[in-house]
Amino acid sequence: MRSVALRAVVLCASLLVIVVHAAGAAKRPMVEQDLYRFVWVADPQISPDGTRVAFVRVTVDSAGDEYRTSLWLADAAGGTAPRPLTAGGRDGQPRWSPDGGTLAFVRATGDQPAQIHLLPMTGGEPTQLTRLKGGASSPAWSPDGKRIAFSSRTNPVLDDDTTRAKPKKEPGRVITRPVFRVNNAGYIDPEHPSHVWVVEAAGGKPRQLTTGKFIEGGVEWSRTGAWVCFTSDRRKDPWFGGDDENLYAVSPDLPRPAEGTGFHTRVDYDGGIGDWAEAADGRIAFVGGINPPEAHSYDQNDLMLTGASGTPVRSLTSDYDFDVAAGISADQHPPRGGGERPLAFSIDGRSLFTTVAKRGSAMLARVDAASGAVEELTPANREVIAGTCTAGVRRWALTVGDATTPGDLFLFDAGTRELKKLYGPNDALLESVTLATIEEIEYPSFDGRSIQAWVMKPPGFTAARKYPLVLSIHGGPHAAYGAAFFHEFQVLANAGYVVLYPNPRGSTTYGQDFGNIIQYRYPGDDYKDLMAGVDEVVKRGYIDPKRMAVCGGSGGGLLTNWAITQTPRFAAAITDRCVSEWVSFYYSADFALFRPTWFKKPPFEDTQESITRSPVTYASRITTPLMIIHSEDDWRTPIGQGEAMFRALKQQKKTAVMVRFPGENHELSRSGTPSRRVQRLQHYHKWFDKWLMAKPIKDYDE
Amino acid sequence: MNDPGVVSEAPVADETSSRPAAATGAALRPVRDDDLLRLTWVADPRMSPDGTRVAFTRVWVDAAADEYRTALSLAEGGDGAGAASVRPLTFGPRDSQPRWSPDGRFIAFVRSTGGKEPAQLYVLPLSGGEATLVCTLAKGAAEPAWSPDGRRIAFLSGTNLVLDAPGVEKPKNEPGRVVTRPVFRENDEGFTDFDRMSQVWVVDAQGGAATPLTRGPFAAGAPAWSADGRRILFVSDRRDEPWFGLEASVLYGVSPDRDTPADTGDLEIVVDFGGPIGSFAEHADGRIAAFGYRTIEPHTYTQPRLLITEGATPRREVRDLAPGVDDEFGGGINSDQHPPRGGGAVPLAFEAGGETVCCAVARHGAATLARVEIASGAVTPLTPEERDLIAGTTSADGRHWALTLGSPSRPGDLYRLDARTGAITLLWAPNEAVFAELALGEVEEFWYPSFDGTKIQAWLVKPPGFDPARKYPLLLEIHGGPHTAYGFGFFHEFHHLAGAGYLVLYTNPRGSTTYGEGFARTIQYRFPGDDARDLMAGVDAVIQRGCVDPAKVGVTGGSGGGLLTNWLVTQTDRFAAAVTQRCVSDWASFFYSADFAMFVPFWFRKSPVEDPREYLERSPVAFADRITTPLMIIHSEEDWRTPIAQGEAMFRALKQQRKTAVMVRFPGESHELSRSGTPSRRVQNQRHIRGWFDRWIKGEPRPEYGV
Repeated sequence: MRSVALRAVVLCASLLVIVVHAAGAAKRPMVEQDLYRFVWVADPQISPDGTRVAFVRVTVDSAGDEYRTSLWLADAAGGTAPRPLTAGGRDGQPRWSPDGGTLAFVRATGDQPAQIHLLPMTGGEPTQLTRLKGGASSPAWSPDGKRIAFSSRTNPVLDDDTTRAKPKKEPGRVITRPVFRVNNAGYIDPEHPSHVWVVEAAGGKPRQLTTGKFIEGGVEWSRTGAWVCFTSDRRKDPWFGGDDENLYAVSPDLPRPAEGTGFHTRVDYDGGIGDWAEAADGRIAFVGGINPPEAHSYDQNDLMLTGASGTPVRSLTSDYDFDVAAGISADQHPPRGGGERPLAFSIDGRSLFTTVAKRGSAMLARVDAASGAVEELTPANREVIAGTCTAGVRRWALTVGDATTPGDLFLFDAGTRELKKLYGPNDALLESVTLATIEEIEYPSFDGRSIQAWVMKPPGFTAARKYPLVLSIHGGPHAAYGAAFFHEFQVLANAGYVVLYPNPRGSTTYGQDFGNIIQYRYPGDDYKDLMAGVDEVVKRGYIDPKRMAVCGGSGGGLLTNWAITQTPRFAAAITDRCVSEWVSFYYSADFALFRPTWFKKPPFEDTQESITRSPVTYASRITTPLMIIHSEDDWRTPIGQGEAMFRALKQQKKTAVMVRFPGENHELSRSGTPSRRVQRLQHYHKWFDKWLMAKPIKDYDE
Repeated sequence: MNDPGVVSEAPVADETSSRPAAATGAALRPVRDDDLLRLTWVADPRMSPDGTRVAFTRVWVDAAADEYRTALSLAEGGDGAGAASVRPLTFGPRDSQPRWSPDGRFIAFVRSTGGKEPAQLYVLPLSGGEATLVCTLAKGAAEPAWSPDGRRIAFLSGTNLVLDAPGVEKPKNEPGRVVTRPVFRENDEGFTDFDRMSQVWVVDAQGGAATPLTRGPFAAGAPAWSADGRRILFVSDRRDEPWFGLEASVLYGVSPDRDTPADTGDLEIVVDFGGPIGSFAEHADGRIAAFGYRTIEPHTYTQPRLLITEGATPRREVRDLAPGVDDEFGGGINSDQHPPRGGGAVPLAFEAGGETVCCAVARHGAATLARVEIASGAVTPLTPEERDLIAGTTSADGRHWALTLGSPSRPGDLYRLDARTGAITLLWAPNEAVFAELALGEVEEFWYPSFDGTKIQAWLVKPPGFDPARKYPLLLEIHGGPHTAYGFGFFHEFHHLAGAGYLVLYTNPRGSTTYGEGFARTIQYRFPGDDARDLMAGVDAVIQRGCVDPAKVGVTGGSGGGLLTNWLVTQTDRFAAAVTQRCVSDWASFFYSADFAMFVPFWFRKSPVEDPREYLERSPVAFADRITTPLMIIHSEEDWRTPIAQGEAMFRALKQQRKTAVMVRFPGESHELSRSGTPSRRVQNQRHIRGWFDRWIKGEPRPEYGV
């Protein structure tokens, strides 16, 4: 009965919206269902000559309740609207051939894995280049444009063995490794690790270049074209220690796949290797950092540099106490289609381009390859999400967002520093709605430490009134809010709430010490930072202190749980994909790096430390009505964490409701099924309306 | 397709003892894991009202489809009127719950046609002709019950006429589930849909529109008509907040003539004595016999009693018919070869005259049908001792019983019993052809004293061709519950392991049922603990015989037995290998995630929120640093009883220490994998258990386990 009625109400609401919109007079509030109207620009790829930008345009098919991705083309000169290149529903990863005549991309059809296709930019439909059982992805053109290296999970020995009939029902999975599944990716298939392959661009049978039980990734050609390079972690037992990857190379002409000892090692050091780039003289720059002697829960990424012949490695940016090759959080980064973080040597090899994340902004920056001096190139109070550059490393195609805009497509000239907008796919939508205003504030916490925060105010805000407040806490905990668009906050602000989102200690973009200071002390002082923010806003007089709520996801869910065990000040709370009990989280998370990064000892050696820091331990102190939102396929913070809060409160006959999302994982709020993202926002809206606005909402009655 | 019902088999003559497996001629082979695929089960035997025929559900495996099949069969004869014969009545693939019309001319049953289609109500004429569909409901029909005049059929359905009306659109992707109740899902059932609870319905047996008689967010149990046909009786727990308290339910009555469904206030309370009610039976004079007990104090176990009520309703008083008999009334014992589909009724009926009641009683690892004299409370067994009474029903006069009985050497066979003469006749033994090929190990029952002198009952399966002069590897098997019992039931797994050369020991440590209420209750607030010592005393007792290599001892168990397996490897290094199945390892997270919520004050004095210490002290994973035994963890991914995080904890704890562990995760399975899971996965389950022991006890290579 109840759900029928609910559906009817939702329907009426959307009709109403259409009517108001058609009247065209006033702007309407931004609502949950605006998610269906967003368009995202993913994976911008500028042509080698800088005249055109190919990108992935991501939309919602609300009837199919899924995302659609297709390739589009923008003229770098601007002036004309971008046009579609492909009509597929799941096309991605456009990559220009060195001469700009062809776009390689990947296309998935039906339930088959994606394959590499080639689209001639002189006209004509795409042709399919690979037909591999394990699919093909991450195409990389050889410098001469004759070959394409790529990644594939194909295992020819197993996949072509017709005697290995698929059983009618999936058999029991034998798990021998401590890390065996990954949130949003599912079970790791040890028989199908991703390997490096190469294929002639003119067509032909793809050749496998690497083999064995380890994964190889980050496939790129060496500048000369003599090598296909890739990164790989080839330790037998990598689960409980720091990152350790090497950069390897194999000849593209290998007659049969090489394994381990057959690789040429280009970079070998004690640390991880993210993106990398090669200078003309052979120096390699990469994103990483040497593992410190004592483990941290947070280590800033640095730009690392080798000599011309490869290792040894030095850190270029260790004196720059902000995050390199990093960004900030948003709930409207492209939910599909991905993108590359900018990284390139200048043509003369004297500097490097990368992104830096600093005090809630993400900027394109130039790093001096000798001194490591960092020069920020794009303006603060924005976020550079993804980007690529021309062969001349002068012009960049960038997606850039800010607090009131999901990412738009820009052209950036590193010479003139001109940032020119090429495509704003959400301009009309954003024009038609009322957007909340955002005030950046900074306040001293209990110990004098300065905390940056943002206050979002409802449209038509007047400081003379009293508003309900929602404190939103980010996860990570080593992540950062900042100058990025949050649909969730806009919906809440449009519903009449002031939204406060601070970066407490532990957040990134404020330096190594500010981030790592919470090691072994989480949750703790970060909670005090958050409450100091609440006090700061309350002090301004426009908040009704009896109508304050707290919410957050992941690590923010942990802090939400923690906050309501520490204070009765919140009238409602929503804990989303939370952690509540460290012991069972230690045992069930997809990753295994708790010790010694987060805890000094495992729980079976010292349970007390885990118990002392677990919110559920103090559930008897909770008085705040709590909504627990959790996805059933969340392998990062498995749903047992949310269940613990629910059962603990229900056992005490306290007010709690659980909203469980089937078929979703830890990414629900960022890239989940469209209808469920909208439902999630509606639950936020209704729970707060029930407890802060005293609206008669019956959905959560027993 | 392998439908054993089509092949007519000569029934074996009156013989209820465990038949020796030795057939003459061809060499016998050991039991294999995939022998499961060839077994046939007899489910839900239903004696015709006149006592001449037995309808039942035969269950078998369609190995190609990797599914169970169920269809109806009919057994006749064997009662002095001629030799027994069995023939199929329907051919499935999913027919079950046969119910005789009072005149014996029709059988109502439920049939599901498509793989995911709910079963609907059908009626099959026994005068010839195909079954006809009685009614079609969105959520199907279950548990049909004929009215005494044979005109109407009551049944259960979760159909919600408003929500399931045609034209109500379903969203493309399942929306988020709003959960407001602390207990919201159930192992093997899934999420509870409070808008679609099982309600009592009624329909004209000739067909037509079905009418719901009850409503509300409470489930009704199987309906039965009162003898006078004026009301339909059913058991239901209709408390608003039943989650954390004592168990209780009420026997309600509802008129079959209602035109609007009744909520709790409109129902007639027939029996409400402040405790749970299991099966019940009504005599023509209105007295009702039922299994149940009063709940006064929170115990982890209260032994069900045989109760009787009479007089005007609501009846608040009940009489315990046999207060001096410390056995489990309505109880049974464990087996991994009870029918995986098709179910069956716990025997309970008045005999003609109403001075006696016949019902199932479990004692010392055996389940029997027994007669209880209402006046004296005297209990007299009617079926042979040392058997596993699985299910049974009786004729209208309570004299002729259709029963399924198992033994340590056979899954359940179909029998008829004349309760007046005591004559028992085998009607169908569907697995004789399979067992004729098998060398079955001897199963020896014995008792041993535990550390404190407590007597413990146990069984030992010996490898075929056992030679007491040799040294054998030994496997200890531990049952779950913990309030259940091993006994004289058939275990495919144990015979398979014995066939692989292992001695297999299974015991009933304290906490087990069938040894009286005190024996079971003693583990409250102490689980695991002394039960583990009982188990080790059993291992020592077998080793003392001199036929065991003490360096080659393994341990395994499921659920509560998985908890004890985990516990044992933290307490001793005597085991060379262990397999923990669907285990509990960390009581606090189990408290938070189990499908049920009755931990406090039953299993623990306080919740982990109030006292985490008690939970830690009893959690095996808290002592994982002491483990040296290589451990295999088998767990099902959709186990809502002991969620898979329990197994993951043991795995991660051992892997973090770089100790030997492997995890086998079964997708699409629940806590019931070993008993009623998908056939192929049950075979794999046994293969993995054996594989791990073969690796660590026999030293055979098993590279698939990474060791």
